[in-house]
Amino acid sequence: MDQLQLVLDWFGNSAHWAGDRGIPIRVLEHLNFSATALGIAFVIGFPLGVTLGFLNKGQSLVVGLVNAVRALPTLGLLTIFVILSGIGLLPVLLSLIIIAVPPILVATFEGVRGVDRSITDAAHAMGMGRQRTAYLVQVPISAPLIVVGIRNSAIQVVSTATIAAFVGIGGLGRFVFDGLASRDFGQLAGGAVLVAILALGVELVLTLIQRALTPGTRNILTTAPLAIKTPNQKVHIP
Amino acid sequence: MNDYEWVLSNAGRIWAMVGEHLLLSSGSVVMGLLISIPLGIACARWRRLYAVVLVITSAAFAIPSVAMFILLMPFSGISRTTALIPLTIYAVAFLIRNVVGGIDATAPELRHAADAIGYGRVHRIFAVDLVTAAPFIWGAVRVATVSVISMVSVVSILGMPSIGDLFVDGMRRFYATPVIAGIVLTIALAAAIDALLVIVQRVTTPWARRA
Repeated sequence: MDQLQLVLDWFGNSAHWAGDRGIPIRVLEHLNFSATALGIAFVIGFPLGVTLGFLNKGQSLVVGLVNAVRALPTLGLLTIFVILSGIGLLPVLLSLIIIAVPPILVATFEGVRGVDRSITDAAHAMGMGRQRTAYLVQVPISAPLIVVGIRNSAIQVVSTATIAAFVGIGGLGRFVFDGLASRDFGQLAGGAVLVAILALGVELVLTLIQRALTPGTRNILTTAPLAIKTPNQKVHIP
Repeated sequence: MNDYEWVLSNAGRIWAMVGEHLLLSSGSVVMGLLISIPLGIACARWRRLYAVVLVITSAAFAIPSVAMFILLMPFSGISRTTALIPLTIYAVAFLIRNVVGGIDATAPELRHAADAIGYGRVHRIFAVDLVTAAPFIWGAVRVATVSVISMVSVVSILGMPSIGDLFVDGMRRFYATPVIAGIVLTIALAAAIDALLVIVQRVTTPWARRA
């Protein structure tokens, strides 16, 4: 197939692997701003989730936030921030953080809140305060679920970071958008392949971490999926 | 020209985008449902298949939609098919766990009762298992629909029409009005379809209403 040959030629050209516009640099850029956004989102979402979780308050706030952000078109979010504040890393990071907070928040909240009452009672009886119980008992118990939340955030962020190139930022999306602009299918599809590989790599690493934190389970069916509660029932989200 | 005038003078074009957006999102959720229900029935019965399906759908879910659209372009060009395939896969990723979860939640007593009054296996699946699963499936349809509606916009980057055209247009001219109009329209569309789904859900599963 001609198109496959174009992609192979693009990957085979050593010029595409070198310099500050080469594939390795673009991968690092992509990982760099994805990780930054994820880190900041964790610093916001995790303590908030733990606090609301052990107080067992704010369920409608958490669910409402998750649903509101789910309905937001990420392309529109990126575009509006860039138009309002100019091309730069800041508007992109801000959009990525907005997308990344809800999955971490809801997973932490549901995880901490869902810990069996007898366990938290035992911790209180031993003289642990609420905060200590939350961070030393409830968080470790719900760690597998929290990692599912981080995984969901990471997937969204890596995916959305691709579109960041649309608003003039680097990363792997650069190949996609430059390929589109110059009608170069090799570059376009080469970029798409790299984006897909990176996303699958991130998914794999976080799934392995999740498995490692879920003792005694080697089966995907027994690892807890993340669920959000709607008025009628829980809905599992992938 | 002020912003309100811009929206009015482009109302026809915007309306066409909303129509196409709605077509792509509802088409992919309907196709996702048509795939997920038989697949879910099979997965509830054969757990090995379920494990394989879960690995595939969560991997596919991780791949950014823009990459999937591009990799489909040699096969289906810039067409609705190219837009619908990845969106349908995402819809399946949302739906499958909930179809299987809903079937699993069927009380064994109900199954035994159905067996006892002589339902065949197929009859029981449709008359008992899927009925118990219906509230779970509806919940997932709502989440999937809202997610897909917000995802569709990306197709505009590759030149396929959707509300995303407003984002591309706004970015090209560095003009905020179309972008804001696009965001508002997407959220309004999601809210309207979700409200419609709630009504359909109430009508079709009256027993599942919150007490």
